[in-house]
Amino acid sequence: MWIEFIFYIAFFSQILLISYHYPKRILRRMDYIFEHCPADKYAKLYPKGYEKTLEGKVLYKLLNIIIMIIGLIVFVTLIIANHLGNIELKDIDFLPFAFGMLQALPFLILEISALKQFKLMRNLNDQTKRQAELSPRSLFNYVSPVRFLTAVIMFFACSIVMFSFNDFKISNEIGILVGSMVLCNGLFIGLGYALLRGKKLDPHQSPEDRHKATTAVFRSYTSISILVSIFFIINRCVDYYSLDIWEPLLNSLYWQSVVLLSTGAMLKLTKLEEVNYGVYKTNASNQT
Amino acid sequence: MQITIDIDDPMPIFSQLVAQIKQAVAAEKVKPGDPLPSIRQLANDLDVNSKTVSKAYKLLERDAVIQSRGYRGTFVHPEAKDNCHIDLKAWMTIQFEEFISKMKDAGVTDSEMRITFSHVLNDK
Repeated sequence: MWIEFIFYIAFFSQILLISYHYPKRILRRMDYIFEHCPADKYAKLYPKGYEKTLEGKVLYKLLNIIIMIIGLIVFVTLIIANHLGNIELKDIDFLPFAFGMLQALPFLILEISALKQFKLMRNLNDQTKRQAELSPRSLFNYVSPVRFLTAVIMFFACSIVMFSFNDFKISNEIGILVGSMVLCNGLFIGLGYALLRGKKLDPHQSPEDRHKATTAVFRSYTSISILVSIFFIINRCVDYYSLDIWEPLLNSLYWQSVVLLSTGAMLKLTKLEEVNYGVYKTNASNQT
Repeated sequence: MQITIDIDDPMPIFSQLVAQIKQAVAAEKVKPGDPLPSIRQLANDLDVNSKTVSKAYKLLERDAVIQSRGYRGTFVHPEAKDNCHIDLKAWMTIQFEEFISKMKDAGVTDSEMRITFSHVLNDK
């Protein structure tokens, strides 16, 4: 009974954290930019136009409210169904994950929209002067070797643990788990490489802001990589020791940790008050 | 240390790069042995073709201002500060002026010089 109670607290926290708390913080940041950087003075910040950006904000808010309501309905239904004895925790182990995917949708739309904005910024960029740092960028400018090594060691440790639970035999299940772990880390490596060596996403961004943003992204990648490894180890332990009743709780906690280490870390590390908005001014010709 | 290029400047981009890196070396903003960004990184940051940066790096390497150490990357040459003041173009102009004056004294015409120069250059 007490595991169910903890799960309800965790699931409720998942609903509030991902569909209320973080969206609220993001919306507050949007308001801060709208207030401090009006479209008439900072036209470069609104390549799609102020109205379109405002529409995006409203859509993001609306989506999160709808998802939160869906979550609360599911939450209440779960409590009632569980109270009536129609459902058991082990039957709903997929729920925190599936609902988490739904909760991630507005964040994904926001990311895609930001990428489109940057592309438009690059296309509209008519500055003839361009700047670059005369020093090479390396991974360790952004993330400490200890943190990076921990992520690598955790990856191998997790692979060994997963195989050891399977008596070092290759099976479909292990293949899928290792494959998804490789895919996840591979994605981070690819995105990290693009950040280090690729083109600037935001053509106006100052070098200092770029450094801060890249640091935040790399910290987030390494943290999530470590977390994924830990989660997979726990997941295998749960399966091996038949702790099915714990799975929904662990899945919910895992999903919240992912958001905490990605969105949470990004919001914490990139302070709006410290961003150089001068580069987005309508007549700004220099990038610093 | 930052470098700035102006794509509207009549001076070619590779020449702007060469000049700015030499200025940075002369002003000791980059020191001998300091690593430089890779061709790809600099090209991406400046949003120019990587061949342009490659050309600038080749000229700087020829002038012994920078040195490539294979997979380890490109570094500022140990003698870079002395070498960055050497102006090969100015030296070449003086050499040509002396040579042309000698040829003219010997009675060689401009067109003969042009044809011969072109032949010799093409044979090299």
